[in-house]
Amino acid sequence: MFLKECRRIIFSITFILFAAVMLLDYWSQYGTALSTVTEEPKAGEGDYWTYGTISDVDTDEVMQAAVQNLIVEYQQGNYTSYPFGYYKEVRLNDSKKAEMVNILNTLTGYDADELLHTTFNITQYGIDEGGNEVEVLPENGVELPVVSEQVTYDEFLLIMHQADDLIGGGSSYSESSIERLSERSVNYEEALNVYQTFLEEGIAPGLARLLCDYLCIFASLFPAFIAVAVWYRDKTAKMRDILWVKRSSSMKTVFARYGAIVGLCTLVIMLIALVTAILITRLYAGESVKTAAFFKYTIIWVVPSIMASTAIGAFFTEATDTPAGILVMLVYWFLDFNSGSLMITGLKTFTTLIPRHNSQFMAAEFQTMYQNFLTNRVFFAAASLVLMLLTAMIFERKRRGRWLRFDKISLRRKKEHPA
Amino acid sequence: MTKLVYVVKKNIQHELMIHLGLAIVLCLLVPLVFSLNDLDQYMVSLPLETIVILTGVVILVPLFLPEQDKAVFDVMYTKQTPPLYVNIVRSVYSILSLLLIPAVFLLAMHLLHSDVRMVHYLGTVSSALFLGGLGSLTFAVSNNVAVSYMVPVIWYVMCMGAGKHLKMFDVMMMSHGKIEPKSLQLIIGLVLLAAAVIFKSSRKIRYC
Repeated sequence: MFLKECRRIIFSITFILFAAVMLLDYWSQYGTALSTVTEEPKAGEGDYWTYGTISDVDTDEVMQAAVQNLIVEYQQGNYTSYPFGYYKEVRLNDSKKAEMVNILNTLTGYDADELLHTTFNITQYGIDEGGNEVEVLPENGVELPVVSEQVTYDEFLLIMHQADDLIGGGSSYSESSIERLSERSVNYEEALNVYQTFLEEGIAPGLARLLCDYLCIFASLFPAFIAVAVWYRDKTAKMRDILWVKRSSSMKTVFARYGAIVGLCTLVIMLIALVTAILITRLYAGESVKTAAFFKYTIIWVVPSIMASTAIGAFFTEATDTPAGILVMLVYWFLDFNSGSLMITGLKTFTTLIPRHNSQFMAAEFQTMYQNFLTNRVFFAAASLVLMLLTAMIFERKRRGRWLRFDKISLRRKKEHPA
Repeated sequence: MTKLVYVVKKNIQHELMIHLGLAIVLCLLVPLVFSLNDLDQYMVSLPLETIVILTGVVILVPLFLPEQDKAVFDVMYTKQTPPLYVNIVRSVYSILSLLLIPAVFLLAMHLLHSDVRMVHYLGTVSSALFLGGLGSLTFAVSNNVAVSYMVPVIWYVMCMGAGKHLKMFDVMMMSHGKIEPKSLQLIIGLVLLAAAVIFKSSRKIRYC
């Protein structure tokens, strides 16, 4: 049954389109990594951003900068946030405004009136006569109190978390934004260390993480379309009549299909990993390249996303008899992808479907989040299996005629005639 | 006339309402993601080209969805009323709703003091029609609902990542800094939709 499903899916338009999209994505995004050898940083280049950042800016400076920003936004009455990667302006209601005053009061010692009417010595940006952006420092501005004298850094982080919650998340006071404030580009010596780690790790792990970062974006979306096509065909091609009377159990039927979709999508990804392993080995001839990393990362990183996407597509189609799975998956993917689009590495939340690591370096940062990353991937794999169990249960209930029918006839049945 | 009223009424009641409802829900989700107030002409384009243009996919792709049901297909293709007539009626009210949704949305943005211009309206409708036309023609040819959503979605994500390379066919052209009414997308969208209606209305078509 599994092989029969594989044969059916492999020649379907949805699967061919999926494979084409993955190859296009691979070629367009990863092409540079396949053709350019990562070189040792050169002294005096000036900018080493590509080798990563280090979080060691003075915490006092971080606190001061964040509170300055918070005061400016409080005085303006609106707060900038990027909850889903897009610019959003938030205005607080009266109760939240009061809570924000409490927060600022803890950080600065000023009350609501003073906060609103004091001109602080804070640099702001304006436009000069030539239309250029210039820094403006107000005359006779009051010096901002030193925040570190009011609270410790840990307390400050907690307070910023509260401020971010009030704004609705994604603000300049979120954990990742505060982290960014404390980051600076690595210097030459540090860049050299990063490069050495890249070599010592065996080249491939770094490049494999970058590969998975790109592949996971579309591998999290398009398998749902394949699942919808397969399950929706039961309805349109009247396959149910054949399927429902078969001896094969519901569990076997549903999981054979699911396995076929996940297996074939994984095959595409593994072939891409294989091609990458060969090309990278040739590109770095003479170096020690641990090619197994391409396969290891592909399996633990991308496959759970394929499983989740397929399960969502299958479950909603089976449950509603409509292509609703596409819409659900599209909304989920859109929000998930965009909320993580401002991150270079990491997981936005526990339920992040698309983990990010947009660099062949930053191995230490990846190791820091590795446990969370693994838990997240196991969660998605397990949740997908649970969703498929539910799909099999719905399939079974349908077989027994104990499930709501969403097809046209039953939905549009007119009122019973009085006769 | 009676026939026209009947076809419009039944199709709106059974089909359009669901998809129109979904399109409206999609637009209602926009304020969760974007600010709609005090935006300049470039920022106005973002919510329109990121979410509102998708109403074209939501409304136009399922134009022929009722015939996925064998019973409906049999009735439609054996009745005296030609399928072309029914499909044209469906297209007309779908296009009207596609004209209406961005208009209401932009009016709301205008009331929120955003710098809304006519070009934003034309650009949004053009891209919605282009994506919708792409999907409906795919539906007409493939008779596969998943592929019909997949094709415009692929185009949309390509525009997200590499829109500038698609030039006049970039549905996010305005967000990428080129504020234009996208006339070419409008024309091609209408041509694709017309081709889909003609293809799908052929009596020779078989249920598959």
